Amino acid sequence: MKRLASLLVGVLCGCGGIEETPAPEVFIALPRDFQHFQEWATYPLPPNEVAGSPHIAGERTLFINRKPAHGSTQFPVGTIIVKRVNDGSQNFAMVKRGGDYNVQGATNWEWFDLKPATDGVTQIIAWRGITPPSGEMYHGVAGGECNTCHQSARNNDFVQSEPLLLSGF
Amino acid sequence: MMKKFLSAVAMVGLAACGGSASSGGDGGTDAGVNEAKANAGVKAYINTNLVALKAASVAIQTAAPSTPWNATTDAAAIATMKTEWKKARIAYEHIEGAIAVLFPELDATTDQRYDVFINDKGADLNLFDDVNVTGIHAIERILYSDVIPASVKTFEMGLTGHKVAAFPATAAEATDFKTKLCDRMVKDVQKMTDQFGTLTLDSATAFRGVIGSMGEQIEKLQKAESGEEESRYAQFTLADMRANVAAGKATYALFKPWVLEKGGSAEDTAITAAFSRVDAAYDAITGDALPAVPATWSSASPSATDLMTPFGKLYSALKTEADPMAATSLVTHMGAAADKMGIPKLPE
Repeated sequence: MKRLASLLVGVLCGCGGIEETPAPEVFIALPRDFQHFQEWATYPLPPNEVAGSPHIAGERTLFINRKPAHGSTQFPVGTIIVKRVNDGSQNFAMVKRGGDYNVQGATNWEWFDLKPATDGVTQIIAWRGITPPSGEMYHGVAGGECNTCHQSARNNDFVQSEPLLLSGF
Repeated sequence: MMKKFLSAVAMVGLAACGGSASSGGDGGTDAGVNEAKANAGVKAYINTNLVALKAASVAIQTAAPSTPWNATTDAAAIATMKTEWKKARIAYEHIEGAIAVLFPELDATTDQRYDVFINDKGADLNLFDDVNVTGIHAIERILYSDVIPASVKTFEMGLTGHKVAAFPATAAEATDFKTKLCDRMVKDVQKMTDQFGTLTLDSATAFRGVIGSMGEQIEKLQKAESGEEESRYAQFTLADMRANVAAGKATYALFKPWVLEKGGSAEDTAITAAFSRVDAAYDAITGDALPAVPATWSSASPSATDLMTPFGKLYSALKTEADPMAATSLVTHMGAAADKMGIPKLPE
């Protein structure tokens, strides 16, 4: 196994210097990486954008920590997309982890369920991984499967939302 | 394998950009120093155990015969592999709490139980290769196939897709074991090591992980009740659990200066006492194997008689210390210490 000597895991700290940081080979997100996501580029989502998705209920807002470069065919490793359910109950996130993670599903993407902590700032990771844990409610839908829905957006690097079409950047 | 779902306390974060969770605490005069030391200590602890895990994994692979195994003529090699397997097991259980949440897919390929693999992926027709059933328990199942307890055999015979465990009986099987199954574990551990190596660990994650690991102790006992005991072939589950506790104590020791800095001497005293109670519960049992589960045992409603058995006493002690609602439990005191350090938590 080759040593990933140049691995830059964890260097993205959400402090505003992200745009200048080259994409790492593998990015393992930690809670600090989601802090202040409300200050990232924002995209309000219309209701019923994705038919049949558990994300469609109510008003939601998308946040992305850095926009892909014009002409990109993939989101760079280190990309974090948060979808806030505007009733404040829950936030979902997808993080471009890289390293052939989730290769059987949305390749290189890791799924997160975030919940706001008592301090109102920290996002606690309720779960993370390739699939929701057994029995987990996915915004009211038991057993919701991230990969299944996002597979239909394979041509957009598994990102569903229209405001985040790679062709639009 | 640790559950993918993180309990509400298992993953919390520090403020961004170097901002310290301690900044919201009380009385800190040297904000961040003890937190940074804890962070560095946890990182070093995990790295040390990853190195040990890798070394033991390589040693198993190196010792594996390339020809069909013979219990008599290969006794020395088998003994070596068993010794190294136990080293690997202890090393992994020391770091599972931190590793599993960061590398869920590697936690699965490395530490998932046989019954979960074949339930998820179907029958494993070749026990010795590097697909479907893999990792430390796949190796254990082969390595200890000559001493698997009858109760474990009975449990597994009821599994759909079950295949009887055995030593490699052909040169092809022996080669597969050495160059595929063992090699897969070596590579998976190396991948963990590589990706963990440059990760700037979130210290709060580690601390809350210790709290969550107490719940894992209960889960391990409950798995024994249903026959799904973790290290069931080697009868090593109690040793696994002791390693979990040792990791918890080692991790807490790294955080202790930060807790004290924040005025948490009472919490520290209570945590130390709680760990002593946990130690006493384990010290009451000898050996590496879990005590026998009483025939009439029910974790949902254990009888007074069953609670007096060695298994029942251990269950009772751990259940008490893992109860977040109990005023004097280890988990409660650890939560209080986390509050002292200003580590955020989910709303109740």
